[in-house]
Amino acid sequence: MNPPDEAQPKGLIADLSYRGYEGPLLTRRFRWWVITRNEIKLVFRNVWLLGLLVIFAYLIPGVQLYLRSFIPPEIVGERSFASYFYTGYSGSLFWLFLVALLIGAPSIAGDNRANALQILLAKPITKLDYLIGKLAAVFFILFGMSLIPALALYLFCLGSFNDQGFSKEALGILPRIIAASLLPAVVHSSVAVGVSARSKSPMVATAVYGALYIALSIVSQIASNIVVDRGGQEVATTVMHLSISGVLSGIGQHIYNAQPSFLGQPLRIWGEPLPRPELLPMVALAAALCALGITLAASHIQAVEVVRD
Amino acid sequence: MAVAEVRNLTLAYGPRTAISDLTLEIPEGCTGLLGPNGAGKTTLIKALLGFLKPVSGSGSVLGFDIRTESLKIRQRVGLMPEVDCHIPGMNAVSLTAYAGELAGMPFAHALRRAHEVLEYCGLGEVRYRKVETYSTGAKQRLKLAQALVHGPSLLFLDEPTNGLDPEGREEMLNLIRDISHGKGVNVVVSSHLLPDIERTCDHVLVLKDGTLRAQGSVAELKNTSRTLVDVELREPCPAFVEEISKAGASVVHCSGSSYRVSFPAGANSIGAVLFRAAKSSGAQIRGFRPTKRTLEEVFLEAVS
Repeated sequence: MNPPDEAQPKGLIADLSYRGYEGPLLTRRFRWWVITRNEIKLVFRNVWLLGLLVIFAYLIPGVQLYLRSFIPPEIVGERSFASYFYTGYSGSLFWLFLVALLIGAPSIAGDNRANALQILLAKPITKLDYLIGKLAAVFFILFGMSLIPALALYLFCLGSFNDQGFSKEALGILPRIIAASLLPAVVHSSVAVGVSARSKSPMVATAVYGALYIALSIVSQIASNIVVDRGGQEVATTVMHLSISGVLSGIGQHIYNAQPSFLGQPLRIWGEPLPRPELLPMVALAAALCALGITLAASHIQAVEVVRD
Repeated sequence: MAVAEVRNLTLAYGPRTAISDLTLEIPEGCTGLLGPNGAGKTTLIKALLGFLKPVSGSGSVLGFDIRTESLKIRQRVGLMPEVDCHIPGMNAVSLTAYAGELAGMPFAHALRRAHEVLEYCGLGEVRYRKVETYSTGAKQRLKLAQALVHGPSLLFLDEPTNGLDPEGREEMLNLIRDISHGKGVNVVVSSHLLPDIERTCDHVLVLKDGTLRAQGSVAELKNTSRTLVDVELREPCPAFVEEISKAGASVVHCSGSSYRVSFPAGANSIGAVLFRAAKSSGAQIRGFRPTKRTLEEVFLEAVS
């Protein structure tokens, strides 16, 4: 048996001594992207299954469109192609909320809990770089999950329904798809990250965001009923949409120029099709929620605690 | 040359002043930062990293202003915090490479460098394990690795041997000693463990209540202008203390029959003085030897 070769290094790296780094350094401008990329890598594996459920939400209008090829329009009723996209969009909102709950709410809270900010902010990045990085990670995941199935439906329509008039709507629908995919991504990422920055526990942040989402829906529903009782039917629908889920659904109706429907039939209230909510209050609420979320996050990301005395 | 300095620095948390009119220099090499709780060590390091804006005064780290050039400072400085800090779900390689990328290193360089520093810090075998499964010792090494990955010129190490077993502590101290001597990295060690400071540091800064109480090389601080001698008597003898005083010396510490006697610098015939005092007081000397102050005594004297 040969004696072990003492000249061979014990580890994989031959030179185990320490030396300084003299390689290239990148500009600080895109340092936020490092945080975004790392966050996406870390959290995407937790939510890819929900991404499949978002795709499932767009399968329903896909099936409806497929059936439309066989059933005469006088039976199913005339519907614009954009309304099918709205059906998919509104069906995807719940799953996107769950994704935001799972990746947005814990994003900064997880770092707070693990004291990761102590090592992250001790590097040459600003608090703004960190915040943009975290926001962008949640945004890109939500945007991608919302956009990809909608684009798939778009391609399906482009390949199958040109003879039924889709080619006339095709160019107009594409920017609508992009706008409708941006909307939940922007709102959820801003509010969820804002809630996250205030917490030191990912579970608490998730619970708070979930509670906020549901509570706002309940409050807007109650407020809408009160408005109806006082004879304000014309504004009741708008009031009903003054919540996170409401603004996403309501602005979506305006983007796709569609009415809320169930199995292809428009939803009705007092015998009339449910009116579309006013755009301006919903846009104002969405903007306020985003601004509030980002402001909360920016003010609660604390520089590192260096030494505990 | 100083790697960091502050001049008349005052720092406050709201109405509470944490550091008042502090002037000090951190020299090149390995410097120990000592002080009791609330001494201002945390606040000083926060200010040096640019996290805390001074109320008044000025300061610089590696020639960069702490008020206006904090990002440049952090580009050249590494921090090993006291508390556990890791990102769950990451392994040591990805976390260290991530830290390198945040410092501006391209991904490929950061990854290669992460392997190198993890190997250097003794984490080569476990580098692909999730960091949440690490032992305390491995977590300490990982914190050191992420602080070193971008090749800093100055390292702040906060309680680097916290929670380590004797073997791990020994290895960590050897690492610190190795980094700070001959590798071009200056190190500031904040620790409550005086033996660790004594093992690793060339210079010491002692802070208390936001003021500098003592500063200098370990050898200088341990030296005194007087000559110290430890004397062991057969049994305690108060008369011996009186006789020593008459001879111009003084007893600075007494424990049972052991006395630490302080003679003026350059005193001659110390043995003769001790034997004369023993003879006069009826004491019996079992032995005596010259001694030096320990760092603990220097520390206690500075903060008392």
